[in-house]
Amino acid sequence: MKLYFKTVLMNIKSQLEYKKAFIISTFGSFLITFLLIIAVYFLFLNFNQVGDWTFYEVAFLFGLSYFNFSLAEMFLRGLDHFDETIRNGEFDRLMIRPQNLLIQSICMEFDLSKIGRIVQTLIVLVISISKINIDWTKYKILVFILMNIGCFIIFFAIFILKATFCFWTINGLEFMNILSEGGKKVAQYPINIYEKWFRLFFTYIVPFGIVNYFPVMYLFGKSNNLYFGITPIGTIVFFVTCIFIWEIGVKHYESTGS
Amino acid sequence: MEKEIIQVKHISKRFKVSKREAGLKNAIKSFFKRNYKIINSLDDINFSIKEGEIVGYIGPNGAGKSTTIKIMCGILVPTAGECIVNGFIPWKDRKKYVKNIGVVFGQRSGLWWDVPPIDSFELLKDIYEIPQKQYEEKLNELMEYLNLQDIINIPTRQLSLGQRMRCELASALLHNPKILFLDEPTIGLDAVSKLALRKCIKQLNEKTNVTIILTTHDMQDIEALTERIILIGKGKILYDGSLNDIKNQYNENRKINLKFKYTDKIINLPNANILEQTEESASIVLKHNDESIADVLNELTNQVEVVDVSIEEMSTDDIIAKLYNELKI
Repeated sequence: MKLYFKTVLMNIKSQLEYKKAFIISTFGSFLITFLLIIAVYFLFLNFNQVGDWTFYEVAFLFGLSYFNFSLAEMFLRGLDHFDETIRNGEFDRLMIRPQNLLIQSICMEFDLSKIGRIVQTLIVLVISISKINIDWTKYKILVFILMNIGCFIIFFAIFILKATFCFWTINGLEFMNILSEGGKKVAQYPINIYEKWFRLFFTYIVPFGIVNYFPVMYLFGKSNNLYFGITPIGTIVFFVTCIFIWEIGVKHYESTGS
Repeated sequence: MEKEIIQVKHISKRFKVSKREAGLKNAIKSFFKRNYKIINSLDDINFSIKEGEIVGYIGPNGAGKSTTIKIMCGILVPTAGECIVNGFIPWKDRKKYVKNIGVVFGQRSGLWWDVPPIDSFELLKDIYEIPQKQYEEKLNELMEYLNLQDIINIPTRQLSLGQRMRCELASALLHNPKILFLDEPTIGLDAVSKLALRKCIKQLNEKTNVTIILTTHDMQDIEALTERIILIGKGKILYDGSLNDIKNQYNENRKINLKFKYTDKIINLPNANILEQTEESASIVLKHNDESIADVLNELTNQVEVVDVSIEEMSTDDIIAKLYNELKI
Protein backbone atom coordinates (compact mmCIF):
# COMPACT_ATOMS: atom_id res chain seq x y z
CA MET A 1 0.00 0.00 0.00
CA LYS A 2 2.78 2.37 0.98
CA LEU A 3 4.50 1.42 -2.21
CA TYR A 4 1.39 2.18 -4.23
CA PHE A 5 1.22 5.71 -2.86
CA LYS A 6 4.89 6.23 -3.56
CA THR A 7 4.49 5.23 -7.18
CA VAL A 8 1.39 7.39 -7.42
CA LEU A 9 3.46 10.29 -6.16
CA MET A 10 6.10 9.47 -8.74
CA ASN A 11 3.47 9.44 -11.48
CA ILE A 12 2.07 12.76 -10.36
CA LYS A 13 5.57 14.23 -10.42
CA SER A 14 5.96 12.96 -13.97
CA GLN A 15 2.66 14.39 -15.10
CA LEU A 16 3.35 17.79 -13.60
CA GLU A 17 6.48 17.89 -15.75
CA TYR A 18 4.13 18.57 -18.64
CA LYS A 19 1.93 21.38 -17.31
CA LYS A 20 -0.02 22.35 -20.42
CA ALA A 21 -0.92 18.80 -21.37
CA PHE A 22 -2.10 18.21 -17.83
CA ILE A 23 -4.38 21.28 -17.74
CA ILE A 24 -5.90 20.52 -21.13
CA SER A 25 -6.66 16.88 -20.37
CA THR A 26 -8.09 17.74 -16.93
CA PHE A 27 -10.38 20.32 -18.47
CA GLY A 28 -11.28 17.94 -21.27
CA SER A 29 -12.20 15.13 -18.89
CA PHE A 30 -14.42 17.59 -17.00
CA LEU A 31 -16.18 18.69 -20.17
CA ILE A 32 -16.88 15.20 -21.54
CA THR A 33 -18.94 13.98 -18.59
CA PHE A 34 -20.60 17.39 -18.36
CA LEU A 35 -21.88 16.99 -21.92
CA LEU A 36 -23.11 13.48 -21.11
CA ILE A 37 -25.25 14.53 -18.20
CA ILE A 38 -26.60 17.47 -20.25
CA ALA A 39 -27.64 14.93 -22.89
CA VAL A 40 -29.53 12.94 -20.25
CA TYR A 41 -31.18 16.17 -19.12
CA PHE A 42 -32.45 16.97 -22.64
CA LEU A 43 -33.77 13.47 -22.89
CA PHE A 44 -35.85 14.01 -19.76
CA LEU A 45 -37.14 17.38 -21.04
CA ASN A 46 -38.94 15.39 -23.71
CA PHE A 47 -39.97 12.31 -21.72
CA ASN A 48 -40.21 13.51 -18.11
CA GLN A 49 -39.70 9.98 -16.85
CA VAL A 50 -37.99 6.72 -17.76
CA GLY A 51 -40.13 3.95 -16.28
CA ASP A 52 -41.06 5.39 -12.92
CA TRP A 53 -37.69 7.08 -12.45
CA THR A 54 -37.30 10.84 -12.41
CA PHE A 55 -34.42 12.83 -13.85
CA TYR A 56 -32.69 13.31 -10.49
CA GLU A 57 -32.97 9.66 -9.66
CA VAL A 58 -31.34 8.74 -12.95
CA ALA A 59 -28.80 11.52 -12.42
CA PHE A 60 -27.97 9.90 -9.09
CA LEU A 61 -27.29 6.57 -10.77
CA PHE A 62 -25.34 8.35 -13.51
CA GLY A 63 -23.26 10.07 -10.86
CA LEU A 64 -22.70 6.84 -8.96
CA SER A 65 -21.61 4.94 -12.05
CA TYR A 66 -19.43 7.64 -13.61
CA PHE A 67 -17.91 8.78 -10.33
CA ASN A 68 -16.63 5.30 -9.51
CA PHE A 69 -15.64 4.64 -13.08
CA SER A 70 -13.57 7.83 -13.07
CA LEU A 71 -11.97 6.85 -9.79
CA ALA A 72 -11.07 3.49 -11.32
CA GLU A 73 -9.69 5.22 -14.39
CA MET A 74 -7.52 7.47 -12.26
CA PHE A 75 -6.21 4.91 -9.81
CA LEU A 76 -6.13 1.86 -12.08
CA ARG A 77 -4.92 3.46 -15.29
CA GLY A 78 -2.10 0.91 -15.39
CA LEU A 79 -4.63 -1.87 -15.94
CA ASP A 80 -6.52 0.15 -18.51
CA HIS A 81 -3.28 0.59 -20.47
CA PHE A 82 -1.97 -2.89 -19.76
CA ASP A 83 -1.73 -3.71 -23.47
CA GLU A 84 1.14 -1.21 -23.67
CA THR A 85 2.88 -2.81 -20.72
CA ILE A 86 2.75 -6.13 -22.55
CA ARG A 87 3.58 -4.73 -25.96
CA ASN A 88 6.74 -2.89 -24.96
CA GLY A 89 7.96 -5.73 -22.78
CA GLU A 90 7.60 -3.83 -19.52
CA PHE A 91 5.85 -6.80 -17.99
CA ASP A 92 9.14 -8.73 -18.07
CA ARG A 93 10.59 -6.01 -15.93
CA LEU A 94 7.74 -6.27 -13.45
CA MET A 95 8.44 -9.99 -13.19
CA ILE A 96 11.99 -9.40 -11.99
CA ARG A 97 10.79 -7.23 -9.13
CA PRO A 98 9.96 -8.85 -5.79
CA GLN A 99 6.41 -7.53 -5.57
CA ASN A 100 2.93 -8.62 -6.52
CA LEU A 101 2.42 -8.47 -10.29
CA LEU A 102 -1.14 -7.13 -10.23
CA ILE A 103 -0.24 -4.30 -7.87
CA GLN A 104 2.84 -3.47 -9.90
CA SER A 105 0.77 -3.39 -13.09
CA ILE A 106 -1.64 -0.97 -11.45
CA CYS A 107 1.29 1.18 -10.38
CA MET A 108 2.48 1.55 -13.96
CA GLU A 109 0.27 4.57 -14.46
CA PHE A 110 -1.80 7.02 -12.48
CA ASP A 111 -3.94 9.43 -14.44
CA LEU A 112 -4.29 12.58 -12.36
CA SER A 113 -6.14 14.40 -15.14
CA LYS A 114 -9.22 12.28 -14.42
CA ILE A 115 -9.67 14.54 -11.40
CA GLY A 116 -11.72 16.79 -13.71
CA ARG A 117 -14.20 14.01 -14.32
CA ILE A 118 -14.27 13.00 -10.67
CA VAL A 119 -15.13 16.51 -9.53
CA GLN A 120 -17.81 16.83 -12.20
CA THR A 121 -19.53 13.53 -11.37
CA LEU A 122 -19.29 14.27 -7.68
CA ILE A 123 -21.18 17.53 -8.30
CA VAL A 124 -23.88 15.59 -10.19
CA LEU A 125 -24.08 13.12 -7.31
CA VAL A 126 -24.38 15.84 -4.65
CA ILE A 127 -26.99 17.87 -6.57
CA SER A 128 -29.13 14.83 -7.28
CA ILE A 129 -29.01 13.70 -3.64
CA SER A 130 -30.14 17.14 -2.52
CA LYS A 131 -33.08 17.05 -4.94
CA ILE A 132 -34.28 13.56 -4.04
CA ASN A 133 -36.25 13.04 -0.89
CA ILE A 134 -34.25 10.48 1.06
CA ASP A 135 -34.89 9.81 4.76
CA TRP A 136 -31.27 9.49 5.78
CA THR A 137 -30.69 6.99 8.55
CA LYS A 138 -27.36 5.55 9.69
CA TYR A 139 -28.16 2.40 7.79
CA LYS A 140 -28.92 4.34 4.62
CA ILE A 141 -25.59 6.16 4.87
CA LEU A 142 -23.93 2.75 5.14
CA VAL A 143 -25.90 1.55 2.11
CA PHE A 144 -24.77 4.59 0.13
CA ILE A 145 -21.12 3.93 1.02
CA LEU A 146 -21.51 0.23 0.17
CA MET A 147 -22.99 1.15 -3.21
CA ASN A 148 -19.93 3.23 -4.01
CA ILE A 149 -17.48 0.61 -2.84
CA GLY A 150 -19.36 -2.12 -4.71
CA CYS A 151 -19.49 -0.06 -7.88
CA PHE A 152 -15.75 0.63 -7.67
CA ILE A 153 -15.04 -3.06 -7.07
CA ILE A 154 -16.97 -4.02 -10.22
CA PHE A 155 -15.02 -1.56 -12.34
CA PHE A 156 -11.81 -2.72 -10.67
CA ALA A 157 -12.66 -6.33 -11.53
CA ILE A 158 -13.60 -5.41 -15.11
CA PHE A 159 -10.29 -3.58 -15.50
CA ILE A 160 -8.47 -6.68 -14.27
CA LEU A 161 -10.40 -8.79 -16.75
CA LYS A 162 -9.58 -6.39 -19.55
CA ALA A 163 -5.88 -6.47 -18.63
CA THR A 164 -5.88 -10.27 -18.36
CA PHE A 165 -7.19 -10.46 -21.90
CA CYS A 166 -3.87 -8.92 -23.04
CA PHE A 167 -1.99 -12.07 -21.98
CA TRP A 168 -3.59 -13.82 -24.94
CA THR A 169 -3.91 -11.04 -27.44
CA ILE A 170 -3.31 -7.33 -27.43
CA ASN A 171 -5.56 -6.84 -30.40
CA GLY A 172 -9.31 -6.89 -30.03
CA LEU A 173 -9.34 -4.97 -26.78
CA GLU A 174 -12.41 -3.16 -28.09
CA PHE A 175 -14.28 -6.31 -27.19
CA MET A 176 -13.38 -5.83 -23.55
CA ASN A 177 -14.60 -2.24 -23.71
CA ILE A 178 -18.11 -3.67 -24.01
CA LEU A 179 -17.77 -4.46 -20.35
CA SER A 180 -16.05 -1.31 -19.13
CA GLU A 181 -17.52 1.42 -21.31
CA GLY A 182 -20.76 -0.46 -21.84
CA GLY A 183 -21.12 -1.37 -18.19
CA LYS A 184 -20.67 2.24 -17.17
CA LYS A 185 -23.52 3.26 -19.48
CA VAL A 186 -25.76 0.37 -18.50
CA ALA A 187 -25.32 1.27 -14.86
CA GLN A 188 -26.47 4.84 -15.38
CA TYR A 189 -30.07 3.63 -15.63
CA PRO A 190 -31.92 1.37 -13.19
CA ILE A 191 -31.69 -2.09 -14.69
CA ASN A 192 -35.42 -2.83 -14.40
CA ILE A 193 -35.97 -0.74 -17.54
CA TYR A 194 -34.05 -3.32 -19.63
CA GLU A 195 -35.09 -6.61 -21.20
CA LYS A 196 -35.01 -9.68 -18.98
CA TRP A 197 -31.95 -11.48 -20.42
CA PHE A 198 -30.01 -8.23 -20.33
CA ARG A 199 -31.06 -7.66 -16.75
CA LEU A 200 -30.01 -11.15 -15.73
CA PHE A 201 -26.62 -10.77 -17.36
CA PHE A 202 -25.95 -7.52 -15.55
CA THR A 203 -27.11 -8.91 -12.23
CA TYR A 204 -25.57 -12.36 -12.07
CA ILE A 205 -22.60 -12.27 -14.47
CA VAL A 206 -21.41 -8.68 -14.33
CA PRO A 207 -23.28 -7.64 -11.20
CA PHE A 208 -24.12 -3.98 -11.79
CA GLY A 209 -27.67 -4.68 -10.65
CA ILE A 210 -26.58 -5.36 -7.09
CA VAL A 211 -24.73 -2.07 -6.74
CA ASN A 212 -27.39 0.18 -8.17
CA TYR A 213 -30.88 -1.22 -8.70
CA PHE A 214 -31.42 -3.19 -5.48
CA PRO A 215 -29.75 -0.87 -2.98
CA VAL A 216 -31.16 2.22 -4.66
CA MET A 217 -34.69 0.80 -4.36
CA TYR A 218 -34.13 0.69 -0.63
CA LEU A 219 -32.31 4.02 -0.50
CA PHE A 220 -35.09 5.88 -2.30
CA GLY A 221 -37.77 4.19 -0.22
CA LYS A 222 -39.22 2.30 -3.18
CA SER A 223 -38.73 -0.93 -1.24
CA ASN A 224 -38.51 -1.66 2.46
CA ASN A 225 -36.45 -4.82 2.07
CA LEU A 226 -33.41 -4.22 4.32
CA TYR A 227 -31.41 -6.89 2.49
CA PHE A 228 -31.53 -4.86 -0.70
CA GLY A 229 -29.17 -2.46 1.06
CA ILE A 230 -26.31 -4.90 1.47
CA THR A 231 -26.36 -6.59 -1.93
CA PRO A 232 -23.21 -4.68 -3.05
CA ILE A 233 -21.21 -7.06 -0.84
CA GLY A 234 -21.84 -9.68 -3.52
CA THR A 235 -19.41 -7.91 -5.86
CA ILE A 236 -16.58 -9.56 -3.93
CA VAL A 237 -17.45 -12.86 -5.64
CA PHE A 238 -17.05 -11.24 -9.04
CA PHE A 239 -13.80 -9.61 -7.94
CA VAL A 240 -12.27 -12.84 -6.64
CA THR A 241 -13.26 -14.63 -9.84
CA CYS A 242 -11.46 -11.98 -11.90
CA ILE A 243 -8.32 -12.24 -9.75
CA PHE A 244 -8.39 -15.97 -10.33
CA ILE A 245 -8.60 -15.45 -14.11
CA TRP A 246 -5.71 -12.99 -13.86
CA GLU A 247 -3.55 -15.66 -12.22
CA ILE A 248 -4.34 -18.01 -15.10
CA GLY A 249 -3.27 -15.25 -17.48
CA VAL A 250 0.08 -14.86 -15.72
CA LYS A 251 0.69 -18.61 -15.98
CA HIS A 252 -0.07 -18.42 -19.69
CA TYR A 253 2.40 -15.57 -20.09
CA GLU A 254 5.13 -17.57 -18.36
CA SER A 255 4.77 -20.37 -20.85
CA THR A 256 4.59 -18.25 -24.00
CA GLY A 257 6.35 -15.02 -23.17
CA SER A 258 4.46 -13.16 -25.81
CA MET B 1 36.56 -25.27 -5.11
CA GLU B 2 34.39 -22.32 -5.99
CA LYS B 3 30.65 -22.70 -5.71
CA GLU B 4 28.63 -23.17 -8.86
CA ILE B 5 25.99 -20.49 -8.59
CA ILE B 6 24.13 -21.26 -11.82
CA GLN B 7 23.35 -24.72 -13.07
CA VAL B 8 21.37 -25.26 -16.22
CA LYS B 9 20.58 -28.86 -17.10
CA HIS B 10 18.86 -30.10 -20.24
CA ILE B 11 16.72 -26.99 -20.63
CA SER B 12 14.39 -27.00 -23.62
CA LYS B 13 11.80 -24.48 -24.64
CA ARG B 14 9.21 -24.99 -27.33
CA PHE B 15 6.84 -22.34 -28.58
CA LYS B 16 3.62 -22.80 -30.43
CA VAL B 17 3.46 -20.26 -33.20
CA SER B 18 0.37 -19.79 -35.28
CA LYS B 19 1.10 -20.04 -38.95
CA ARG B 20 -0.85 -18.16 -41.55
CA GLU B 21 -0.53 -17.65 -45.26
CA ALA B 22 -0.90 -14.17 -46.70
CA GLY B 23 -4.21 -12.93 -48.07
CA LEU B 24 -7.68 -12.16 -46.80
CA LYS B 25 -9.05 -15.61 -47.49
CA ASN B 26 -6.40 -17.27 -45.39
CA ALA B 27 -6.83 -14.66 -42.68
CA ILE B 28 -10.48 -15.60 -42.38
CA LYS B 29 -9.67 -19.29 -42.55
CA SER B 30 -7.13 -19.04 -39.77
CA PHE B 31 -9.64 -17.13 -37.68
CA PHE B 32 -11.63 -20.32 -37.36
CA LYS B 33 -8.96 -22.94 -37.57
CA ARG B 34 -5.40 -22.13 -36.65
CA ASN B 35 -2.44 -24.04 -37.89
CA TYR B 36 0.25 -24.20 -35.30
CA LYS B 37 3.91 -24.73 -35.81
CA ILE B 38 6.13 -25.87 -32.98
CA ILE B 39 9.39 -24.00 -32.73
CA ASN B 40 12.28 -25.33 -30.70
CA SER B 41 13.67 -22.19 -29.25
CA LEU B 42 16.02 -24.01 -26.91
CA ASP B 43 17.12 -27.58 -27.27
CA ASP B 44 18.89 -29.36 -24.42
CA ILE B 45 20.93 -26.49 -23.01
CA ASN B 46 23.55 -27.32 -20.39
CA PHE B 47 26.07 -25.15 -18.62
CA SER B 48 27.13 -24.04 -15.18
CA ILE B 49 28.67 -20.85 -13.93
CA LYS B 50 30.81 -20.30 -10.87
CA GLU B 51 30.34 -17.56 -8.35
CA GLY B 52 32.19 -14.38 -9.33
CA GLU B 53 32.65 -15.42 -12.94
CA ILE B 54 31.92 -13.19 -15.93
CA VAL B 55 30.52 -15.15 -18.84
CA GLY B 56 29.78 -13.86 -22.32
CA TYR B 57 26.67 -15.43 -23.78
CA ILE B 58 26.82 -14.91 -27.50
CA GLY B 59 25.07 -16.00 -30.65
CA PRO B 60 23.38 -14.47 -33.66
CA ASN B 61 19.91 -12.90 -33.49
CA GLY B 62 17.17 -15.41 -32.80
CA ALA B 63 19.57 -18.03 -31.48
CA GLY B 64 17.80 -18.28 -28.13
CA LYS B 65 19.93 -15.94 -26.03
CA SER B 66 17.11 -13.91 -24.58
CA THR B 67 14.94 -16.98 -24.06
CA THR B 68 17.72 -18.45 -21.91
CA ILE B 69 18.11 -15.20 -20.00
CA LYS B 70 14.36 -14.98 -19.48
CA ILE B 71 14.31 -18.50 -18.08
CA MET B 72 17.18 -17.73 -15.73
CA CYS B 73 15.36 -14.57 -14.61
CA GLY B 74 12.19 -16.50 -13.86
CA ILE B 75 10.16 -14.78 -16.56
CA LEU B 76 9.66 -17.91 -18.65
CA VAL B 77 9.06 -21.49 -17.62
CA PRO B 78 10.99 -24.00 -19.76
CA THR B 79 9.22 -26.87 -21.45
CA ALA B 80 11.69 -29.33 -19.98
CA GLY B 81 14.84 -29.36 -17.93
CA GLU B 82 16.24 -28.11 -14.67
CA CYS B 83 17.68 -24.79 -13.73
CA ILE B 84 19.00 -23.85 -10.33
CA VAL B 85 20.27 -20.36 -9.70
CA ASN B 86 21.55 -19.38 -6.30
CA GLY B 87 19.71 -22.34 -4.78
CA PHE B 88 16.37 -21.36 -6.31
CA ILE B 89 14.32 -22.58 -9.23
CA PRO B 90 13.79 -19.18 -10.85
CA TRP B 91 10.17 -19.56 -11.97
CA LYS B 92 9.07 -20.93 -8.62
CA ASP B 93 9.07 -18.66 -5.61
CA ARG B 94 9.59 -15.70 -7.94
CA LYS B 95 9.40 -12.96 -5.32
CA LYS B 96 12.11 -14.44 -3.12
CA TYR B 97 14.33 -15.40 -6.01
CA VAL B 98 14.45 -12.05 -7.80
CA LYS B 99 15.74 -10.29 -4.70
CA ASN B 100 19.11 -11.83 -5.49
CA ILE B 101 19.38 -10.94 -9.14
CA GLY B 102 19.83 -7.71 -11.02
CA VAL B 103 18.95 -7.27 -14.66
CA VAL B 104 19.86 -4.60 -17.18
CA PHE B 105 18.14 -4.70 -20.55
CA GLY B 106 20.13 -2.43 -22.85
CA GLN B 107 17.15 -1.85 -25.08
CA ARG B 108 14.73 -0.97 -22.33
CA SER B 109 14.91 1.35 -19.39
CA GLY B 110 14.37 0.29 -15.82
CA LEU B 111 14.30 3.87 -14.65
CA TRP B 112 11.27 6.11 -14.51
CA TRP B 113 11.59 8.31 -17.53
CA ASP B 114 10.41 11.70 -16.36
CA VAL B 115 12.02 11.89 -12.95
CA PRO B 116 15.70 12.01 -11.93
CA PRO B 117 17.43 8.66 -11.31
CA ILE B 118 17.68 9.35 -7.59
CA ASP B 119 13.86 9.21 -7.37
CA SER B 120 13.89 5.87 -9.16
CA PHE B 121 16.52 4.59 -6.75
CA GLU B 122 14.40 5.66 -3.79
CA LEU B 123 11.45 3.77 -5.19
CA LEU B 124 13.56 0.68 -5.85
CA LYS B 125 14.69 0.84 -2.25
CA ASP B 126 11.05 0.33 -1.26
CA ILE B 127 10.32 -2.25 -3.94
CA TYR B 128 13.26 -4.38 -2.78
CA GLU B 129 12.67 -3.48 0.86
CA ILE B 130 16.28 -2.45 1.37
CA PRO B 131 17.05 -1.15 4.88
CA GLN B 132 17.87 2.57 4.85
CA LYS B 133 21.42 2.20 6.12
CA GLN B 134 22.36 -0.53 3.69
CA TYR B 135 20.77 1.48 0.88
CA GLU B 136 22.80 4.58 1.68
CA GLU B 137 26.05 2.64 1.87
CA LYS B 138 25.41 0.87 -1.40
CA LEU B 139 24.32 4.04 -3.14
CA ASN B 140 27.48 5.87 -2.07
CA GLU B 141 29.60 2.97 -3.21
CA LEU B 142 27.88 2.84 -6.60
CA MET B 143 28.01 6.61 -7.05
CA GLU B 144 31.75 6.39 -6.64
CA TYR B 145 32.34 3.40 -8.93
CA LEU B 146 29.98 4.60 -11.62
CA ASN B 147 30.71 8.29 -11.26
CA LEU B 148 27.10 9.35 -10.83
CA GLN B 149 27.43 12.45 -8.66
CA ASP B 150 26.65 14.95 -11.40
CA ILE B 151 23.86 13.13 -13.19
CA ILE B 152 21.73 11.70 -10.42
CA ASN B 153 19.47 14.76 -10.13
CA ILE B 154 18.76 15.30 -13.82
CA PRO B 155 15.49 13.87 -15.23
CA THR B 156 16.30 10.55 -16.87
CA ARG B 157 14.97 11.59 -20.26
CA GLN B 158 17.58 14.34 -20.44
CA LEU B 159 20.54 12.04 -19.80
CA SER B 160 22.75 10.83 -22.62
CA LEU B 161 22.60 7.12 -23.35
CA GLY B 162 25.98 6.55 -21.71
CA GLN B 163 24.95 8.38 -18.56
CA ARG B 164 21.67 6.56 -18.51
CA MET B 165 23.34 3.15 -18.81
CA ARG B 166 25.50 3.91 -15.78
CA CYS B 167 22.35 4.75 -13.85
CA GLU B 168 20.67 1.58 -15.13
CA LEU B 169 23.61 -0.40 -13.85
CA ALA B 170 23.33 1.28 -10.46
CA SER B 171 19.58 0.61 -10.34
CA ALA B 172 20.19 -3.09 -10.96
CA LEU B 173 22.77 -3.30 -8.17
CA LEU B 174 21.16 -1.31 -5.36
CA HIS B 175 19.75 -4.40 -3.68
CA ASN B 176 23.15 -6.05 -3.75
CA PRO B 177 22.32 -8.98 -6.05
CA LYS B 178 24.56 -12.01 -6.31
CA ILE B 179 23.99 -12.34 -10.02
CA LEU B 180 23.80 -9.65 -12.64
CA PHE B 181 22.29 -10.21 -16.09
CA LEU B 182 23.41 -7.70 -18.68
CA ASP B 183 21.48 -7.93 -21.92
CA GLU B 184 23.35 -5.94 -24.56
CA PRO B 185 24.47 -3.23 -22.16
CA THR B 186 26.67 -1.35 -24.64
CA ILE B 187 24.18 -1.23 -27.49
CA GLY B 188 24.09 2.20 -29.10
CA LEU B 189 26.86 3.65 -26.95
CA ASP B 190 29.68 5.74 -28.39
CA ALA B 191 33.26 4.54 -28.11
CA VAL B 192 34.13 6.57 -25.02
CA SER B 193 31.00 5.54 -23.13
CA LYS B 194 31.57 1.91 -24.07
CA LEU B 195 35.07 1.97 -22.64
CA ALA B 196 33.86 3.68 -19.48
CA LEU B 197 31.03 1.22 -18.99
CA ARG B 198 33.29 -1.80 -19.52
CA LYS B 199 35.69 -0.44 -16.95
CA CYS B 200 32.82 0.00 -14.49
CA ILE B 201 31.55 -3.53 -15.03
CA LYS B 202 35.02 -5.00 -14.60
CA GLN B 203 35.57 -3.03 -11.42
CA LEU B 204 32.21 -4.02 -9.97
CA ASN B 205 32.97 -7.65 -10.57
CA GLU B 206 36.38 -7.40 -8.94
CA LYS B 207 35.21 -5.46 -5.92
CA THR B 208 31.89 -7.12 -5.15
CA ASN B 209 32.47 -10.55 -6.68
CA VAL B 210 29.10 -10.36 -8.40
CA THR B 211 28.54 -13.06 -11.01
CA ILE B 212 27.85 -11.55 -14.42
CA ILE B 213 26.15 -13.03 -17.46
CA LEU B 214 26.56 -10.80 -20.43
CA THR B 215 24.92 -11.02 -23.82
CA THR B 216 26.27 -8.81 -26.53
CA HIS B 217 27.02 -8.57 -30.20
CA ASP B 218 30.07 -6.49 -29.52
CA MET B 219 33.08 -8.79 -29.35
CA GLN B 220 35.17 -6.07 -27.80
CA ASP B 221 32.85 -6.18 -24.78
CA ILE B 222 33.73 -9.83 -24.42
CA GLU B 223 37.44 -9.30 -24.95
CA ALA B 224 37.52 -6.55 -22.37
CA LEU B 225 35.51 -8.37 -19.75
CA THR B 226 35.84 -12.12 -19.93
CA GLU B 227 37.74 -15.13 -20.99
CA ARG B 228 34.83 -17.50 -21.15
CA ILE B 229 32.16 -17.49 -23.80
CA ILE B 230 29.13 -19.66 -24.33
CA LEU B 231 28.08 -19.71 -27.96
CA ILE B 232 24.52 -20.57 -28.81
CA GLY B 233 23.01 -21.09 -32.24
CA LYS B 234 19.60 -22.38 -33.29
CA GLY B 235 18.77 -23.24 -29.71
CA LYS B 236 21.85 -25.39 -29.11
CA ILE B 237 25.09 -24.71 -27.31
CA LEU B 238 27.88 -24.89 -29.85
CA TYR B 239 30.83 -23.86 -27.81
CA ASP B 240 31.65 -23.28 -24.17
CA GLY B 241 35.18 -22.24 -23.40
CA SER B 242 37.79 -19.59 -23.82
CA LEU B 243 37.58 -16.95 -26.48
CA ASN B 244 41.32 -17.23 -27.16
CA ASP B 245 41.05 -20.89 -28.12
CA ILE B 246 38.42 -20.03 -30.70
CA LYS B 247 40.54 -17.20 -31.95
CA ASN B 248 43.58 -19.41 -32.40
CA GLN B 249 41.53 -22.06 -34.09
CA TYR B 250 39.80 -19.79 -36.55
CA ASN B 251 42.29 -17.05 -37.02
CA GLU B 252 43.89 -16.99 -40.41
CA ASN B 253 47.64 -16.73 -40.23
CA ARG B 254 48.99 -13.31 -39.62
CA LYS B 255 50.22 -11.35 -42.55
CA ILE B 256 53.14 -8.92 -42.60
CA ASN B 257 53.26 -6.12 -45.17
CA LEU B 258 56.73 -4.79 -45.65
CA LYS B 259 58.38 -1.85 -47.39
CA PHE B 260 62.11 -1.60 -47.78
CA LYS B 261 64.83 0.19 -49.69
CA TYR B 262 65.47 -0.94 -53.25
CA THR B 263 67.02 -4.37 -53.48
CA ASP B 264 67.15 -7.24 -55.91
CA LYS B 265 67.79 -9.83 -53.24
CA ILE B 266 65.09 -12.42 -52.77
CA ILE B 267 63.89 -12.70 -49.19
CA ASN B 268 64.26 -16.09 -47.67
CA LEU B 269 62.61 -16.96 -44.36
CA PRO B 270 62.37 -20.37 -42.68
CA ASN B 271 59.09 -19.71 -40.79
CA ALA B 272 57.14 -17.74 -43.36
CA ASN B 273 55.93 -17.87 -46.92
CA ILE B 274 56.49 -14.99 -49.27
CA LEU B 275 53.20 -14.14 -50.98
CA GLU B 276 54.69 -11.59 -53.30
CA GLN B 277 57.81 -9.50 -53.57
CA THR B 278 58.68 -6.45 -55.63
CA GLU B 279 61.91 -4.45 -55.52
CA GLU B 280 60.60 -2.27 -52.71
CA SER B 281 57.86 -4.24 -50.96
CA ALA B 282 56.70 -7.69 -49.93
CA SER B 283 53.86 -9.45 -48.15
CA ILE B 284 54.66 -12.39 -45.98
CA VAL B 285 52.45 -14.88 -44.20
CA LEU B 286 53.58 -16.71 -41.08
CA LYS B 287 53.48 -20.47 -41.37
CA HIS B 288 52.19 -20.95 -37.85
CA ASN B 289 50.15 -18.67 -35.69
CA ASP B 290 52.29 -19.11 -32.62
CA GLU B 291 55.33 -17.87 -34.50
CA SER B 292 56.90 -14.81 -32.93
CA ILE B 293 56.61 -11.78 -35.14
CA ALA B 294 59.65 -10.27 -33.49
CA ASP B 295 61.84 -13.17 -34.61
CA VAL B 296 60.65 -12.86 -38.14
CA LEU B 297 61.23 -9.14 -38.20
CA ASN B 298 64.69 -9.64 -36.79
CA GLU B 299 65.51 -12.02 -39.56
CA LEU B 300 64.07 -9.62 -42.13
CA THR B 301 66.19 -6.69 -41.01
CA ASN B 302 69.25 -8.85 -41.62
CA GLN B 303 68.24 -9.36 -45.20
CA VAL B 304 66.74 -5.99 -46.27
CA GLU B 305 66.66 -2.41 -45.08
CA VAL B 306 63.14 -2.13 -43.69
CA VAL B 307 61.30 1.20 -44.10
CA ASP B 308 57.77 0.38 -42.95
CA VAL B 309 55.97 -2.61 -41.43
CA SER B 310 52.28 -3.33 -40.91
CA ILE B 311 50.72 -6.47 -39.51
CA GLU B 312 47.29 -7.70 -40.56
CA GLU B 313 45.30 -9.76 -38.17
CA MET B 314 41.69 -10.90 -38.29
CA SER B 315 39.49 -9.00 -35.86
CA THR B 316 37.46 -10.94 -33.35
CA ASP B 317 34.35 -9.89 -35.25
CA ASP B 318 35.74 -11.45 -38.42
CA ILE B 319 36.56 -14.62 -36.54
CA ILE B 320 33.10 -14.87 -35.02
CA ALA B 321 31.46 -14.18 -38.38
CA LYS B 322 33.57 -16.94 -39.87
CA LEU B 323 32.61 -19.21 -37.02
CA TYR B 324 28.86 -18.52 -37.47
CA ASN B 325 29.30 -19.19 -41.15
CA GLU B 326 31.11 -22.43 -40.61
CA LEU B 327 28.57 -23.67 -38.06
CA LYS B 328 25.77 -22.54 -40.37
CA ILE B 329 23.89 -20.57 -37.73
